[in-house]
Amino acid sequence: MGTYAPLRQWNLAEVDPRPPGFHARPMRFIHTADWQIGKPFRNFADKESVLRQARLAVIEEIGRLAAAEGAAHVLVAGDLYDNDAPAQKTLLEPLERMRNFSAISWHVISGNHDYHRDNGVWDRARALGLPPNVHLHLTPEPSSLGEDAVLLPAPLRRKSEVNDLTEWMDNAASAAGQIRIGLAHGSVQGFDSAGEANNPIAADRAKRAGLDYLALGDWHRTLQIGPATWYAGTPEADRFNSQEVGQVLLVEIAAPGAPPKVTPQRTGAYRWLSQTWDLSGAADLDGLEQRLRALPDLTRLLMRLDLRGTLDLTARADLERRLATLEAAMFWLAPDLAGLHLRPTLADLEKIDFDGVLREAAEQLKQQAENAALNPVERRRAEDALVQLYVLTRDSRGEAA
Amino acid sequence: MKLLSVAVEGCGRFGTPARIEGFGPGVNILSARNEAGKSTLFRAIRTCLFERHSSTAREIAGLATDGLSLPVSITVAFEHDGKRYEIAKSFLKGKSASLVRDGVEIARNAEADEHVWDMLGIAPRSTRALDEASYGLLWVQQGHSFDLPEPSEAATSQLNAVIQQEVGTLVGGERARQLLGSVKDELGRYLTDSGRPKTGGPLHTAIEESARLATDRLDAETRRSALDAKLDELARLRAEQRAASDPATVQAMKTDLDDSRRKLSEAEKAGEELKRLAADERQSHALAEAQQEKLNELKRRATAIDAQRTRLTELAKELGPLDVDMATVTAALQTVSERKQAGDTEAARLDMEERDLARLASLAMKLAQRETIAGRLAQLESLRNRGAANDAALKAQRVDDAALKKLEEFETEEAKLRARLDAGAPRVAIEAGPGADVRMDGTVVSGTAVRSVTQPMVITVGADVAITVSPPQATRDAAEKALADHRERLKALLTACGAADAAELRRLRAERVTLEEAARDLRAERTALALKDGVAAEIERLQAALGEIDADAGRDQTNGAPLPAADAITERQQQAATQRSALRAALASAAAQIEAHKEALAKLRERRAAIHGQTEQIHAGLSSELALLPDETRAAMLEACEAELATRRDAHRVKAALVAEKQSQTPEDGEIERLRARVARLESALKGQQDKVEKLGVRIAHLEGEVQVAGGDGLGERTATLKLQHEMALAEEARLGERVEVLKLLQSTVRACHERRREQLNAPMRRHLKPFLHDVFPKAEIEIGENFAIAGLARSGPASELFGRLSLGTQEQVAVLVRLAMGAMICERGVDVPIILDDALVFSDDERIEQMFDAINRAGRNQQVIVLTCRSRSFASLGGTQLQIV
Repeated sequence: MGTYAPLRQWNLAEVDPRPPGFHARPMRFIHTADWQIGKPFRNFADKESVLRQARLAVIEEIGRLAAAEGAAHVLVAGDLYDNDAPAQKTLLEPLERMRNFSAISWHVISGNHDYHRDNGVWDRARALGLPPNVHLHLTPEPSSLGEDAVLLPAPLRRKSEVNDLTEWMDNAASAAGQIRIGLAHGSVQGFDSAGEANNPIAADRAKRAGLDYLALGDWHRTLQIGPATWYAGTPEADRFNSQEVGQVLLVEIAAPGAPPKVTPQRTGAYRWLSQTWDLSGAADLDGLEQRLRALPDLTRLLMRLDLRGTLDLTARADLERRLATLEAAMFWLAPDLAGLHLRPTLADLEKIDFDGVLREAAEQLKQQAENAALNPVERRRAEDALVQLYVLTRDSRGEAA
Repeated sequence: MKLLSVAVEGCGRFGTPARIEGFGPGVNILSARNEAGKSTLFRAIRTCLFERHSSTAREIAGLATDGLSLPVSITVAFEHDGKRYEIAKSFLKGKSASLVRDGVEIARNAEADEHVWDMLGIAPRSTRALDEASYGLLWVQQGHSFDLPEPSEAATSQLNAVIQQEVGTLVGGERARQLLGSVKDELGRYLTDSGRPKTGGPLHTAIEESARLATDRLDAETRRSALDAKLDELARLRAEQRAASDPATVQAMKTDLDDSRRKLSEAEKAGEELKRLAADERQSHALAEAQQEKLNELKRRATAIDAQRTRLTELAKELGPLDVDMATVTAALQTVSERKQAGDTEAARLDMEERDLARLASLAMKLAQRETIAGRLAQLESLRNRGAANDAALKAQRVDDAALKKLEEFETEEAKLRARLDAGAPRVAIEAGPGADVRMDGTVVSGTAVRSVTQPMVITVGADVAITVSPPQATRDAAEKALADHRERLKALLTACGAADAAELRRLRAERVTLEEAARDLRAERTALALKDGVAAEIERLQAALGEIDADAGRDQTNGAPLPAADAITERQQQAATQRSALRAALASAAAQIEAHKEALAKLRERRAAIHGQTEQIHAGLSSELALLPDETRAAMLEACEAELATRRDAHRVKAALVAEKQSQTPEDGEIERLRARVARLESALKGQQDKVEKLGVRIAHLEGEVQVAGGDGLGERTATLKLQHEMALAEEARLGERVEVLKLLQSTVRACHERRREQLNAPMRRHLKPFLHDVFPKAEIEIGENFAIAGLARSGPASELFGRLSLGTQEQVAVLVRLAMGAMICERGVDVPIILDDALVFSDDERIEQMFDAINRAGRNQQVIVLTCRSRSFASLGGTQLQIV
C-alpha cells in the first residue's frame, strides 16, 4: 500500500439538526465503482489470491477513508461483483466488509457485470441477509440521503441496455433545497469510455436533470466528463493500460446548485504499469534495468513491459538474465518480446563457433530470420532457433548465458 | 597407458592367486587353452579399472570364484605419463581400493577409483555406470569382435577431438553432435520417436489440460446458459403471475360477469313473453288470412260463371262464317283438279315423242361410228392371223438352244478324240533336201515335215522307195471305235432335229430364232392395243357392235320412211323439251293449289270441331260452379263473407300492436347470444386465470429451486475462471508447440550442416584406416557413415558391398581393422590406450590371418596390443611378447 497523508477523523455522530434547505455543513460522500469482486486472476498464477484479496481489502480502505473524511455515504456506481453468478463466499465477502463500517451507508446499484434480475445476484444477497447499512437501489426510484440530498439511481436490469436509463432523472421530483445526486453505470454518449456494455448515458444528463452530481461507473479510470459528472474509476486497479493505481472520489457539495468539489483519493494497494521500451543494443539494457529498479514499491508493482527494437545475441541473452532478476524483484512482470528482434553480430556468430557445422547452422538460421520472403512466423522461429543455438553452445562451454 | 601386469585372486577359476607379468610395449599374445581363464582376466582388468570398489553389480558377483568365500581381489599395474601405477581393489568382501604411484600409495577407496578414471580420461555418468570412452572402443571382449565399433558418448567425443586436432580447421562435428544430443534430449521431453506428443511430457500435458479445460469450460458455459435461461424464464413467469393475479383485474372481471349474468336473465324472460305474444299474433293473422281466402274464392267463382257464359255466346257466333268458307274452298278444289288431269294427258304424249326422238338420234350416231369400228376389226383380225401363222411355224420348228449346244459339244469331243489319236500316234519327221522327191501319202515334202501317224502312211522317196508307216493296230482300232460311237450320237441328234448335217441344224436354229423374235413383236403389238379381254374377245365385241348397228338400221328402213337428218331430230327434241317444261310448271302450280285448298279445308273442319268441344266443356264447368254459387244467393254470400273478414282483421291488428310493443322492449336474439357467450367467456377466464396463477406458482417455485441449485455454486465465477484458464492453457499449448517447432528447426538445420561436413569429418578416419585395410584388402576403400558407422566395403571398383552382406570372417576382419585404425588415430594424438582383442579372428583363413597379423603388428608399432587366444598354432606367427598365466 502506498503512503499518503494521514486521514482526518470526523465524528459522524456530530450531525446537528438543521431546517430543510439549510446546509450547515457541506455534504460529503465517497464515489466509487467497478470493484468487480470475484474477478479471476489465474493468469497471475500464485499471485491470484493476493490480487483477489486486495480487491476485498480496498473496501475496508474506502470505509476508513469515508470515516476519516466525514462522508456518511459511499455510492457504488455498479459492478460491485465481477459477474452475476458469484460463489456464495464471493457474494458475502464484500457485504461483510461493508457491515463492519456501520456508520457508513453504502448505496449500491447494479452494473452490467452484476445486472439485476429475479433470483439473480442481488436477490441472492438479499436472501442471505443484507447488512443494515447496505442499501441496494435496484429500481429507478428516488431515495433520500438524509434530509439534505436525494439519490436518483439508474440500476441495470440487463447486461446491455439500448435506452438511456438515466433519462427518468430529468423528471424525478425532489424536495426543494435538496441536493440531487445521480448514480448510474454505462457509457457516456459521445465520449469513448470504452465501456464494456452498450449502456448509453447522455453526456449532459447532469444538466438536464438538474443534478448536483452524477456518479458514474463502468470506466475503470477516474475521469471527469463534465462539471458535475465523473467516473470514479476502480478502487483497486485490475488491468494494464488502464488506471495504474486504484482510487475513489471524495465529493463535497456545499449546497444545491453549488459546483461539487471532487478530490481523487488513492485506495489501491497495487500499481499496474505498462511501459514500452525501444532497445537498440546492449548499452540500452543498463538504462532499462536502472529505470525499472528505480520505480517505487517494486513488490507491489505489476508491470507489462513491451520491448521493441533489435538486439544482438549477446545482448538478448543478457536481457533474459536481467528480466529474470527483475521478475523476482517485482510483484509481477510480464515482458512482451514479440516486437524485439535479433540482429546477430559477427561476434555473436563467432561465439557460437568460428567455423564448422554450428557456425554454418547459425549463418543459415540468421539468413532465414532476415529472409523477407518468409512469413513472420517462420522468421521468428528462425530467430528463436538461433537464440537457442547460442544458448546451448554457451551452456556447453559452461559460460553463463 | 600401458598395461604392465595383472594379478587376481578369488576371481573366476582363479581361486588362488594368479598373475600375468611381462606385458611389452607392442604386440603381446596370451595363448592358452579354452577355460584357462583368459576372458576372466580380461574382465578382471576392466572391473579393476572401471568399477567402483564398493560396487555389488551382478557382473562383479559373477566374477567371484564359486564355492569360496573370498573377496574378488584384482591388481593391475600400468604405466601412464612415464610413471608406474598399481591399482589394487577388493570387491564384494573387505571392499577396498588402493592406488600406488611409483611405489607410493596416493589414493584409497573411492578416491582411488576416481583418480584412476581421471588419469584415463573417463568420467562416471552415475555411481553405477561409467562411459569407458576409448577403452570401451578398443578393448574387444570375447564374441564382440564381429561387431562394428559403436563409439560411446565419451569415445565419440574423444574421436571427434582427435579429428578436430588432425583436420586443423574447425569442423565443429563434436560440438554439433553434442548440441544435437541436447536438442534431441529436450525434444524427447516433448515428443515420442514418431513425433507425437509424448505421454506425460509437457506438450502432451498442455494439450490434455487444454482439452480438459475446454470441456470444463463448455460444461460450465452450458450450465451458465441454462441458468440464464431459467432466470429469464423465471422473470417472465413472475411478470405473468403478477399480471394474472392483479386484484383490480380480477375484480373488474367478476363485476363484468355479474352484470352480464343479470342482463342475460332479463333478456331471456322478455324473449319468452315475446314468443307467446308472437304466437297469438300469428294465429290471429292466420284466421284473417283464411277468411280473406274464402272471400277471394267466392269472388273468383262468380267471375268465372260470368266469363263462361260470355264465351258460349262468342262460340255460337263463330260457327256460321265457318260453314260458308268450307263450301267455297271445296268448289275451288274441284276446278283445279280437273285442270291438272288435262295437263297430265298432254305430258304423257310428250314423253312418247321424246323417246322416239332419242332412239333416232342414237341410231344416227351409231351409223356415223360404223366405219371406225369396221377398220379396227380388220386390224385386229390381221393381228390374230399373223400370230396364228407364227405360232404354227414355231411349233414346226424344234431346233432350240440345247440342240445347238449339244452339236457343239459333239464337235468338241470329236476334236479331242482326234487330238488324242494324234498325240498317241508315232511321229514321222522328214528332212527333204532341195531337189529331193519325198512324198507323204502323196503330198510332196519340201524342207522339214513332221506328222503324226494315226493312219497307215505311205512315204515315197523318189519313185523307187515307198515306205509305209502304220500306227499300232490296237491304238488305231480304239480310236476308230470311239470316233464311230461319236458319229452315231451325232447322227441321232441331227435326225431328231430334222437336219441332214450340222450346217443345216445351224440354219434351222437361225430360222427359229427369227420366228421367236416375230412372236415377241406380235406380243408387243397386242400389248400396245391395251385390250382388256384379249384380241379374240375384242373382235367378237366389234363384230357384235357392227351387227347391232346394221340391225337397227334395217328396222328403220323397214318402216318405209327415210331416217330424218340428225339436225332435224335435234331441233325437234329441243321443241319437245320446251313444251314439257312449260307443262310441268303448270302441273306443279295446279298440284300446289290443290294442296292449299285441301289444307284450308282441313283447318276449317278442325276449327269447327274445336268450337263444338269447347262449348260442351264450358257447359259442364258452368253447371258445377252454379251448384256452389247459385245466382240467386250470390250477393248474400259475398256480403256475409266480407263482414267476417273485417272482424278478423281488427283482432289481428290488436295482437300485432302488442307484439310490436313487446319487441321494442326485448333485446334481439343476437344480443342474448352475445350475453350468453360473454358470461361463458368471463366464467372461463376467471377460472383459467385462477388455474394459471396456481400453475405459475408451482412453476415459479420449481424454477426457483432449480436456480438456487444451479446458481448457488458460483457458476458465473467458475465460468469466468475457466474461460481464463482455458485461454491460458491454449496459450501454453501454443507456446510449447512453438518451442518444439523451434527445436525441430534447429535440429534439422544443424543436421543438414553436419551432413554436408561429413566427408571432411571422416577424412582422418579414412587416412588412418587405409594402411590397416590395405594390409588385408589391397586397394579397398571403406565407406564411413554417421558416427563412424561402416556402411560398406569397396574392394574392386567404385561399387561397395554392404557390410552386412560380407562373409562373417570378412566382417570380423573389417571390424578389427577399424578398431585398430581408431586406436592408431587416438594414439597419434597422444592418447595412449592399449588395444585388447579377446579371442578374435576366429573365422579367418590361413592367408587372411597372416595379413591380419601384419595389421596388428602395424598397430603394435605405436601402441600396446594384447591378443588373447586359444588357438596357439594359428597365432604362432603373430609374433610379439608371449604372455603366460602364473
